Amino acid sequence: MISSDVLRGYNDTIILSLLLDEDSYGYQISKSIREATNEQYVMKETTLYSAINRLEKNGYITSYAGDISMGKPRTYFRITDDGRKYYQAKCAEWRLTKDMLSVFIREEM
Amino acid sequence: METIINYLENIFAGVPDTPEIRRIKNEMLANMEERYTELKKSGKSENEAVGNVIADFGNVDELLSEMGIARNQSEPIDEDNRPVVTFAEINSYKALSKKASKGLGIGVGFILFGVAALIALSTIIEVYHYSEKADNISAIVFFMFLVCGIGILIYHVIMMRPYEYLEKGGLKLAHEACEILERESREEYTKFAKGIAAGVMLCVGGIIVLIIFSMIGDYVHNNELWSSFGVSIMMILIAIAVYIFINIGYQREVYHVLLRIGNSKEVATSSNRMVQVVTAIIWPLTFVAFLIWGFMYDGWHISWILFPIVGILLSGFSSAVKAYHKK
Repeated sequence: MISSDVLRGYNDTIILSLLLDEDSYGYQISKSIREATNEQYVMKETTLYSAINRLEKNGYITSYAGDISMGKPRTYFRITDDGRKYYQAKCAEWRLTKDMLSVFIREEM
Repeated sequence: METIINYLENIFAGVPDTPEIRRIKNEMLANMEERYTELKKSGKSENEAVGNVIADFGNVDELLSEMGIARNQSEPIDEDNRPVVTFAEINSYKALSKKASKGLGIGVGFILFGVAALIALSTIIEVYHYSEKADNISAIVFFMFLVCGIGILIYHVIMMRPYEYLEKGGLKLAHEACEILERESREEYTKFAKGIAAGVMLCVGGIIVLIIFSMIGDYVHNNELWSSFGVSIMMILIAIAVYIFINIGYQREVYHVLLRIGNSKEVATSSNRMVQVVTAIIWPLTFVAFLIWGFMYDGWHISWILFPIVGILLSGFSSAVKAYHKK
């Protein structure tokens, strides 16, 4: 299990990347993350909604009522153009971070 | 599912009821419901599913600070600042206890097997008139079992050390954890009852074997051999029964310890401690007496009887102490 501290800055990126291809809703997003990482990373419910709240406030995603499940309509999220730009910026930032950090990560001690 | 709904209600108690919060709360509930249904479908029990969902909930303060919402101050604040025992702690405590209960059962079983081997071997040596030195072989075999058994016991007692703090009190348990544990303990009860019945049957079976063997012994030449084999077989059956009893007793104790935290009663350690101390002193003394009787008075064939006698006396003592303290 990877410590959630390390990933904190990239929860938004993870969620945005899942919304690139298709719109999705809360449970499906956390399920996709769980499956894509082979259960290595389980995003907590509160972490997911903190990120969704943040993304929505910044205008990176929008929400709409979708199909009805268990008597209630599901809230779907869609990535906006700003969201796509933000995602690209975060990816660029990650590559830079990775290159920079790899200077300090030694293969052998 | 009730437990999950209650959990969420509790978490959000004291949080202002804005439309924004209500929306997120409903969505979270829908997600948790979906996860719960999926876990149940994959064959998890009710308790496992609920435990899993709640463990993956996270920390609501993270969400509230992100949304810039403060908890409603007028709501009564939880002044109880005892540390909470988390679901992860409970699960690992339960898993480890399960291992330890098996280990302790096996350890005691080893010692009883040793006694069985001792009785059988020393009789064989006596009946067939092997040299007197051969008598030591049975003692050596017994010591090997004894040392292994004690080693296993010590290992598993030390293994549980990290969780001793759970027995010391001053902790609290989430309401939901309590509900789950209470339900689990009820569900396990039938399993425990079956185990105890099986154990008692083994003991009775052991006594029957002993009687039959001594009856056979009356009609045949080597009667001593038959009756001591009877005792050995009885000891082996009792060893299996003791393994079951220890296993069950220890696992029930896990629920007692946890639910005692949940009901936030002070742990009644004084009586337990006293029994533990007395037990810790009596057993080595018994063992020394067993050795003296065996070596100095050549009583190997009978000195084993000290162990069951002391065992019965001690369990009587411990129930008496507990009954006294309950008053």
